[in-house]
Amino acid sequence: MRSTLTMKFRWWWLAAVVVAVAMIAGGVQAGQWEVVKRWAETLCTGCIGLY
Amino acid sequence: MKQPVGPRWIYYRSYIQLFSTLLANSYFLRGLKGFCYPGLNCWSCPAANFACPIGALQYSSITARGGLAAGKPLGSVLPLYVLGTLVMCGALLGRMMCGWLCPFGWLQDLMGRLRRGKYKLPKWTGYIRYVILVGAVFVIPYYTGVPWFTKLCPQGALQGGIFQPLLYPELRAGIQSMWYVKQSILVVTLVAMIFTRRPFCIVICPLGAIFSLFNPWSAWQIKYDAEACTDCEWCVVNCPVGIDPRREVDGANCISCLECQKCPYGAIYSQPRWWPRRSETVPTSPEVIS
Ligand code: SF4
Ligand code: SF4
Ligand code: SF4
Repeated sequence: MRSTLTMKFRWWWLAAVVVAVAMIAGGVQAGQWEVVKRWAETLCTGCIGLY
Repeated sequence: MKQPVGPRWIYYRSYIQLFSTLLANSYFLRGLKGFCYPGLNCWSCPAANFACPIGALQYSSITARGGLAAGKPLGSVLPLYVLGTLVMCGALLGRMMCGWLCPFGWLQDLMGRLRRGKYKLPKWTGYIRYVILVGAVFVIPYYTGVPWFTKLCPQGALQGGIFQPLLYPELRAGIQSMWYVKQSILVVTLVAMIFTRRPFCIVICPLGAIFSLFNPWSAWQIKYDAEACTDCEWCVVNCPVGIDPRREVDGANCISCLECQKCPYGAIYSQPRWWPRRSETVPTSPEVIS
């Protein structure tokens, strides 16, 4: 099922973790934590099914 | 018939699912609402502590359009923080969030216990969730300004749509036809959970679709040892998503629940990806032994 490339090289996940850390750091620095927090704290009428 | 074996910790999965559901909905950690929980848990639940990553991605798609129109660079409108969190979870654990943490996944496991015989979904249905991810989470919200997955999400219907109107009369007064549509989707999903295994995870869930991309190469891997397998099919009968672990373990539809690791013959095992595989450590040919 798996391609030879993923079978042979076992460290793709580590590269992805490094990229993820950079993404999270960049996003948080750009204020995205606060933006997501604001969305999460605002009652979403779509979730509830009111519109 | 031999008894199921495997390491002790894999037998605590239901308790961890229960703990995860309580953790995500315990009300007292709401200062952390900016944290994207790596499971489908509605942020409009009155007791929810964390943000829903799928909701956040849809709102990001909507605001990205306005940002680009206002001349902001592409890099500044990408949801780096949300995607980074999902990439981190996926790269380390693959789909283990689905098997061990997701509250809606747990609900499906519980509903599935109501009936033993299960219908098998055709293989092609497993591709629909990727279409939903691209369409209902990114493209349609971007162009219409409406979070369409959220509008139809059964987890929202359950956690937000039932508990919020129960608590607040002014929300109850606002109930219209859309609410009934959404509750009907929830009922259909609940019934489907009884007759087939984890239908929402296989067919619909865009979060599962994202984690699926990581499962085959995540840091935690599950391996099948054909030499030890006796083809007793214990794992096939007990896999909660109804796949054949001998062929599909650690693939895109596998939720890494490790139920199949209870294989009575020890033919399925899991370990960090950087550890040597069993076939590399157990000498199999006479040359190696001598
Ligand atoms: S695929 Fe299933 S278990 Fe995974 S996030 Fe979606 S609902 Fe939860
Ligand atoms: S891996 Fe093989 S021996 Fe183990 S439960 Fe599955 S069919 Fe049986
Ligand atoms: S193949 Fe194994 S780990 Fe994957 S979902 Fe089935 S039982 Fe769980």
